[in-house]
Amino acid sequence: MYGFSGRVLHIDLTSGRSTHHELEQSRLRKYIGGGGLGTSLLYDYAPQGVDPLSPENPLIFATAPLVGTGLTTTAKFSVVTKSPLTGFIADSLSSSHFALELKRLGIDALVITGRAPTLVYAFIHGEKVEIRAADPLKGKSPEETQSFIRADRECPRAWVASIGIAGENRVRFATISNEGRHAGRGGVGAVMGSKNLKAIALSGDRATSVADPRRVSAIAESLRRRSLSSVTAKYRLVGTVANLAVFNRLGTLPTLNFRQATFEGADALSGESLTETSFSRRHGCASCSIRCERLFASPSGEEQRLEYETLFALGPLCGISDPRVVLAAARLCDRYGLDAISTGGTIAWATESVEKGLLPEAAALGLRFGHAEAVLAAIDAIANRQSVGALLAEGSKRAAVQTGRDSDRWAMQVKGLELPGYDPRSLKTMALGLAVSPRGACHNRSGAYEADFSGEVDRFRGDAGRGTLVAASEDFAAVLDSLIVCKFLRKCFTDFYSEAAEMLAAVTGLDYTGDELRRAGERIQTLKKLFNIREGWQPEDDWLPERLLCEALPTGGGLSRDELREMVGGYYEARQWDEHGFVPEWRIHDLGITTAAKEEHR
Amino acid sequence: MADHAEALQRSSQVQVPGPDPHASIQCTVELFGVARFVAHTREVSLTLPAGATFSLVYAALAEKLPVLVGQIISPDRARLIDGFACNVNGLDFVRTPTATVNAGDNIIILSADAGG
Repeated sequence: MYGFSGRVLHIDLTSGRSTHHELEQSRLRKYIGGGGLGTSLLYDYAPQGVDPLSPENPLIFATAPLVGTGLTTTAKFSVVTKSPLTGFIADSLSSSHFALELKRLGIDALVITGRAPTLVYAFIHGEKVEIRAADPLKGKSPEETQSFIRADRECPRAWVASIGIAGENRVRFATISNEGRHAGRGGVGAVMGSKNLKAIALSGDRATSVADPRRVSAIAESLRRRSLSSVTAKYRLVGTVANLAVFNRLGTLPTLNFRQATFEGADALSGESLTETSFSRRHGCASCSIRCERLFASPSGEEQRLEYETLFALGPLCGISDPRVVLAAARLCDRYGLDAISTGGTIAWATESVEKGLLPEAAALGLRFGHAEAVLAAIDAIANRQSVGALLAEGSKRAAVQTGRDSDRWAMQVKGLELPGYDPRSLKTMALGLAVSPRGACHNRSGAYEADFSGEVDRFRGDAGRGTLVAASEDFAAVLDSLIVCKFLRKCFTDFYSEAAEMLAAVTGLDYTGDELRRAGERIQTLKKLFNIREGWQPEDDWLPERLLCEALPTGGGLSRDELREMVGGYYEARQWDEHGFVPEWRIHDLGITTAAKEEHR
Repeated sequence: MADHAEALQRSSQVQVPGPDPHASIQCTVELFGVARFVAHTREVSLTLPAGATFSLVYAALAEKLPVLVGQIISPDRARLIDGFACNVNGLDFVRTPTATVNAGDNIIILSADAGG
């Protein structure tokens, strides 16, 4: 078997036992790997209605056929579980050496269930799994955790993914971090924390073998060359922080908890300004030729990674225009293992609540838009679940429900996941993408904004036709996330599905076709929806926050309920679901979705 | 961005066609991201003949900032290369270089990829 290993490693932390299971080839063929395979395993391993923070909720790390092959940007892994933030599927990607090491274990996925009696870390080397006490790691940052584990003479070269104190405290938007990268969205770190699992250290010994090494090498060289073309220039020369100034100019930069879409302080925070004033160095994941990461000098003199989403969420969204404060806040999020988007979104909600006379404990922190110290104090409080932090650690949706007084009207989330940095009122295709995404308001599980930024559609006016665009974009993303190939490579392909089939064929020796992969994308996306339906999804979950539907942007652009309803209807039609968004039985069979392997894998 | 609402309102008004072929117009080109990084310039003013197309904008911009040729503007100076896009007044994206420019337009050169 090339590209795949045909095995799952299952660790039960309650008993401390681990076992390898065979994985059916048909499942690998249908769901590929990464996010697709993880979704398929989640459906089967998670009991219906499972509490996300209970021992029974599986935490799944899935690798993929292209990982470890040397193809550029493929050193990635997917973390899939039931989200404690949304109650629906969480699938987050991270990257670099941990991904390569996971593949070198000779498995396609690692499934973790149960709960250890005390804080532990798992050291997996070759076929062996050791569950080790992690008492000294309590409260440590992911960076410190990796250093500590590597200091052990048995694992000096292990690659480590771990949670920070936020995960230990089950903050519902805690991350799992490795090498400065994060499986960030949906609270996968809280699930890991709920299992008393501080870290996973990997040391594999298997090389990835491919069916046609010469062909893989030729494709790798071609892709590498294309990855350095003009279509990736933004990522290579400025990084994702380049978005901020131009989004501000286009009136789509979420500011002051989405009350406006332009920010007076945008110039100082722009990627262009940051590059001039604070740039430290450029970095990249393992096996990546694009090297999009930008590190900037933080006030403490240390280097800090910064991406657009972190910059917008801890900057304009909270009214912060001082780049030093944003860098300090980003550093705290990394250290504690917090999703910066949900952190900023929840703090922005709390700040507006204080303005409206609610949350006296947040007022005591001094929370107001633009108040630097209060934002930093709030991040501390959230990670440690202290004072009002205990409420904010639940995320804006739950916090608003507990607070009442209509505060859900300014909780900027979909399905519980806080919105990323694209204002839906001036990006209508994106508005639909955010509303219907199975993991909640997400900019990564579809690239719906691409239509808006292309001029292909009127970004200020929505219509039913957007449904087809969003569905196609989701399917495309689902295949990218299952191969796995970084989305920053996506414009380097001329005929993506055919080229992806060629890559898979060269790696696995199996005769994939472009049409088969296009269908796999539909299947994966539909299975995500089926998981959500099984866990209680209702049509009202595919909707946007009230503010976006009631308040027009001061700079122009609004979104009506009818407009959104029309777009959602168009999406269901494009998916061939019923008018309420449920998947008809015939469609499930048509896509070849089966979950018969359930019992076999328990 | 104060002019965004004005531009949005302006875009909904009917434009009167038929420019005077002897007149000239002024427009401003704003550079963002890679374009600004490469040119070390935020903004350029251009004087163009009335009824000028975007191809002419790119040619005039290439004249002022030759460093953009090959990196942002195609070697024939008639279009943007793959990976870059053009927006007018923060509103509409320009899909074809044969579209015409209006007097006072703010032409924004940006990366086509909005991924973050």
